[in-house]
Amino acid sequence: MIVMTEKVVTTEEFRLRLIDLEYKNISKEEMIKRIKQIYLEEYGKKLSAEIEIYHSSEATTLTQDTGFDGTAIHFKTHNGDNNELYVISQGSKDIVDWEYNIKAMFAGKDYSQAQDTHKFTEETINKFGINSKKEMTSIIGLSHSLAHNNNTTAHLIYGTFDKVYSVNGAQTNYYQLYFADRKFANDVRSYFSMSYNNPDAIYDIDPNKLRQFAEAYYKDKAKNIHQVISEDDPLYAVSVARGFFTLGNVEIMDTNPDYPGLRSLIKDIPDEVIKDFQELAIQYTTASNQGGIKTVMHDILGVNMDVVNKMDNWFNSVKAYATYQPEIDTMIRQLDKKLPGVLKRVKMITSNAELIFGRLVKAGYISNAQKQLIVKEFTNIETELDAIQETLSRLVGVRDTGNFFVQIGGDIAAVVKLMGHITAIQDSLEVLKREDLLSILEEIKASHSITEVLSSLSSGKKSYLGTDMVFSTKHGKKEIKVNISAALRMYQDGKAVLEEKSSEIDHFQTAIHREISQCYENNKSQVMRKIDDIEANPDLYSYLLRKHIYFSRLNKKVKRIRVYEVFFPLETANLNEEIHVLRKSVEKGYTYVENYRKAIEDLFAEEKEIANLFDLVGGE
Amino acid sequence: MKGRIYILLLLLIVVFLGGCQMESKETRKSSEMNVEDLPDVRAFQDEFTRNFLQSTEETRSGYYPFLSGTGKYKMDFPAGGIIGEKSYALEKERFESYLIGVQKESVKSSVDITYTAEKEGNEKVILDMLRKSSNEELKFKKEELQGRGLYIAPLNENGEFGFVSYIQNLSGVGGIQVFYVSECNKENENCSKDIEKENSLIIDWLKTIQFVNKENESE
Repeated sequence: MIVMTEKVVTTEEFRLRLIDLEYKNISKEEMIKRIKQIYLEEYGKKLSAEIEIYHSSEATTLTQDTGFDGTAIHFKTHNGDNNELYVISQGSKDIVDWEYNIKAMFAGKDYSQAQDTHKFTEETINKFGINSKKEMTSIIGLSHSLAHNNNTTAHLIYGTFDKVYSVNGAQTNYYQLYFADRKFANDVRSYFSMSYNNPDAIYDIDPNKLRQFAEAYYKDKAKNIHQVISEDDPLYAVSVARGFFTLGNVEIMDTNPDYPGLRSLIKDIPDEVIKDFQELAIQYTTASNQGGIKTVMHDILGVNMDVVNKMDNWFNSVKAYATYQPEIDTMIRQLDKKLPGVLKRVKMITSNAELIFGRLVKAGYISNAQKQLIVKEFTNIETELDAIQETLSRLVGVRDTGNFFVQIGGDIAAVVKLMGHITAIQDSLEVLKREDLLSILEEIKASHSITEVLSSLSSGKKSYLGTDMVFSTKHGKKEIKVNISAALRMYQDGKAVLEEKSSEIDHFQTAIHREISQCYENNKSQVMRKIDDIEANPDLYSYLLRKHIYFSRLNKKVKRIRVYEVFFPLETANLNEEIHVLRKSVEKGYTYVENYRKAIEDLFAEEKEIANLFDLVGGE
Repeated sequence: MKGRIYILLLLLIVVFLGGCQMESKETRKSSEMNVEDLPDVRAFQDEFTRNFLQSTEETRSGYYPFLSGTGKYKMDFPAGGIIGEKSYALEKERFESYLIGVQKESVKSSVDITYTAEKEGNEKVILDMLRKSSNEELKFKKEELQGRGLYIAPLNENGEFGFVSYIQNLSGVGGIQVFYVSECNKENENCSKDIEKENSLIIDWLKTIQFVNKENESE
């Protein structure tokens, strides 16, 4: 199959800004408007292709609740060939997705979002009538984060796309592919002579050999995968774990030059240590996002802090024990179940603390004092967990004696002890939540973002601020940077606002005419009509005279009425002056906007394309 | 008077006996039984697989009743099969995926089952995905069974014997993708015959996969 070269979206910058736009959850109209503007900024000319958009929320074929969220953008060119269809899947952003992310990445089994990616793309192709002219349309997956895993997995198994472009993607996983790609699974089975009757045989294969096999197996399709990865991206760092492999043409960028990136730090830390650390960290992050430390305690240890907090001393404990016995019972059982796993992971971290946190100090992520603090708190947590385990095992022993009173006494003593340990763990977790430690996490997280990659994509005079395009120019020795996206927005929006103001003034003027002059004339003519009527039919108005003098009906008659009218002119109704002032302000606005434009054009006197940009948006 | 008491006693005995019989018939969850009391077959000897099996009574010769972790479908489970614990994946009620390794006298099989909360009407795209995933021009035959549509296509590339199947729930959400591949045990000389026999068994087995719909539960 011949893969066409794109004609519309041809730069990494444009692709990144498109992906970012998808995250903004804006209406179709707004999205089309912004895509046109981005095109203008990037290429200095108007987009001639037509844009069609389809969103996954409209799709009828998707499985519910998988958390898949995507947008399809169709660029239809006028001559009909070289069309481009982009399917942008959204990476993880909410709880549902993080759960999926963790599962997909670390267990490597659930592939429902990859299926949804394919189904959504197929539905879009039908919707836009691309089916009949598929060879004239490039079908391209664009993605960030988890979506890369979705898009690439779909590309590898179902051949969903002609090309996949991604930034800071969650890498594909050969275990996941083994469960999702039948042909691959069969080939793996026969290549490694795996027994058909052992369902977990795949885990006995040397991961390195499996990775090499997978890389060779997918090498043709990998040619159409293009990735930009930030060296500082934490997702890139965790991709060293077992199962992950990086496919395609990869451009590694250093987006945060202050740090060396995490991957090099954890490269030679044993797999199990990283896995335990990740699992705990992810469990912690998910729970803490949902409801803070209280939820963390509940999800990780099975502890209900509301009950624990009621048992702050002996007396209250006995009272609480009587009231909340079923809750306490469940809690202890939960704790007993969850403890071994948590303890194992925490021990793995504390026994490798020098290795993990020492590296972070060396790389400058944390200070020595911060490291000591973290290690101390982790050790505290370990000690408390150990104590809980000991208490629990004794508790079970007491229960086995069968003596009811001993049991209750033992229960309460043990429960009070447990509550003490639990509170201590909570305190340690609070310490780990300190501001300065969180800000390091923020910095690490920022390296996962599209904007950090975009901002490091500066070339020559062009750079990026957020997702806005910035142009720089030299005046003498001074470098001046101008946010061109913002300038164009201001110029365009400013002009739109002034136009609107101008038309409002027109409305106002018509309203004045209608409500004042017109009304005066209407009333005047109404009075005139009445006068005419009175003068034409004087006898009908004899009652007017009767109000003043008495006369009998046959005796006297009104023969003629003559009305002498005087109309005073409309006064203080002339608003011309005010209208003039309003019109003046619009003119001033235009002058201001144009001056602003001229100032920028003067700055970039040598760059004709900048001046051109204003012409193009002005002409909209 | 005495006669009446006898009759009452008799009735009581009948009730008790009836009760006893009922109890022995009642399906006991296999996971609650002692290991020694379990049938001596591969499926029951495996602790993880045992959890899915609903009874130690065979549904038909060589099969035990299985209920999915999603609770959304049931089927006959081969006595010689085990479910891979490491490869088992469950996402609440919307996704389940696992491999079964089946050991029979003359053939070994690997069965890959995936459940998704698929809506009716997507069959065309799903079957197409199955074709792409197996990289074969599968020719599906459709059969409508009670409350479900069953699609079966034979596999034969790479000397691989078996079937690809898709089952769509017709009275609710639910779709099940099945890849069933088999190979002969090495020392087997009558391989093609055994495979042929196995193939007809597989088709019968696929028909035992049924959705558990809420309406049925209340019955």
